[in-house]
This record gives sequence, structure tokens and C-alpha cells, in this order.
Amino acid sequence: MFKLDTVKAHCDVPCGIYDTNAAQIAALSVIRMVDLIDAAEKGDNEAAYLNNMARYIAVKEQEAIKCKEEIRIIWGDFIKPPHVEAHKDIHTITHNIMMLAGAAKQHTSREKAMALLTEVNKFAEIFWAIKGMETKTVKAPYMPGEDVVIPVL
Amino acid sequence: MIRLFKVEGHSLYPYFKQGERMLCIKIFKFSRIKVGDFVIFSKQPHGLMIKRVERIQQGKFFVQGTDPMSIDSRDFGLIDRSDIHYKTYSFLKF
Repeated sequence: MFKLDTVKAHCDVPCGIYDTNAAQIAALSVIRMVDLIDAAEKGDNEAAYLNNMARYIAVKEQEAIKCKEEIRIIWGDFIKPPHVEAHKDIHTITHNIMMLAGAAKQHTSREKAMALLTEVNKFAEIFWAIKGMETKTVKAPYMPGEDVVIPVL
Repeated sequence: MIRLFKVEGHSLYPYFKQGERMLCIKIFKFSRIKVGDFVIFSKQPHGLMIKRVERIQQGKFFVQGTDPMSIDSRDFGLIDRSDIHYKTYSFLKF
């Protein structure tokens, strides 16, 4: 029996480029800023100290916001219902990231900043699993040198 | 069972071009699907799609188009064998 039907060999017109790397770098930057804030010494030059501290805090604020933004885009634009079905904790992880990034802005706690990175890494693991790629955990080759989940290319 | 399909899209260029027709062979339980085969499968929300099997991982199939912008396993991940309905070869087009 012969029947003519169509099969789709479609391409994605929008960029279709998604990567969790930017969110991981942002989370690492938050940790780095917390470390710099903790290590800062007032010394004799108060103006220099205040200037440095203001910069660390501003960058921490920006990077925490960036981390939320990057995850929000992947979660909102890339993650589809079948992915949620296969990875039921994706919503919880995303919500945790939103809350921990908020906490990272409010506090200078390294523990909270590390918790943010941990959740972002969990998100990355699921993201690459959806893409059908294996992942591995490596130490970031720059300060603060914490663990990041990356795809095996 | 053989079925005739028409290609819509450019993601398998130059193997299959927009509007080309090809004969497809139904997949049965005993059918062999190997890397390099062109498979016709169901994937929501896209519907019936055709892509090439790039690799087989733990009984599931990573399918990919030749176009870098192709919608394929790079977006939706591995597909199950049960979702694959037909396979074809580039020499079966006309």
C-alpha cells in the first residue's frame, strides 16, 4: 500500500543556542566576590578600601542577577513538558537558584554562594542529559576553583 | 510494508532535499537500526520527523540533521526505538 505523507526535516530559525556555562561563571563570580569581601583589609587608606568594597558588592549583585537571568532563559525557553516529565526536580532546582541568587545579593555568606553554585551545577547536569550528552565535574581553572559540571565533548 | 513520504525542510541536505519523495521501510521488532540510517519517527510537538542516526546509546537513538540549525537530539535528546516507525536510504529517493 502506498500513501504520500510529509516528514519534517526542519531547522530552528532562532539561534537555538543554550548553554549553562554563563550561569556557572556567574555563580563562581559570586563566590569570588564573597572571598574578596572577606579578605579585604581596611588598612590606612579608607577611601581605597571603600572603593574596593563597593566594586566587590556591585559585581556580586550583577553576577547574581546574571545567574538568575541565564537560568530563567533556559528554563523558560528550552525546557519543555517532556523534559519536566523526565526530570521532575527541574522546577524545584530552578526555584532554588532564584532564591539562592537573591540570598547571594543580600548576604556575604560563602555557604550560601556555594549552595547557589551547587544548584546551578544540578541544573547543568539535567540540561546536558536532555541534550543527550554525558557530563563530568571539573575544578574551574581559575579562582575560586570550585567544581563545575561540564559536557563531555 | 513500504510507504511513500515527502520531505519538508532542509535539515538533511544534501541527502534529502525539500520536496523530494522517498520510499520508506516499516520498522518491525526484528528490524535492525544502525548508525547512519535515516529514520522516520514521532516527536511531539514536531510530529513525524526524519533524521539520521548519529549514535546509539543504551538502546536509545541520538538522531541529528546535517544542518547545524536542525531540530534534533541536540534539542530534544535521545529517542526511543518505539518512536521510530520507518527507515530509509538516500538511494530510495526520487
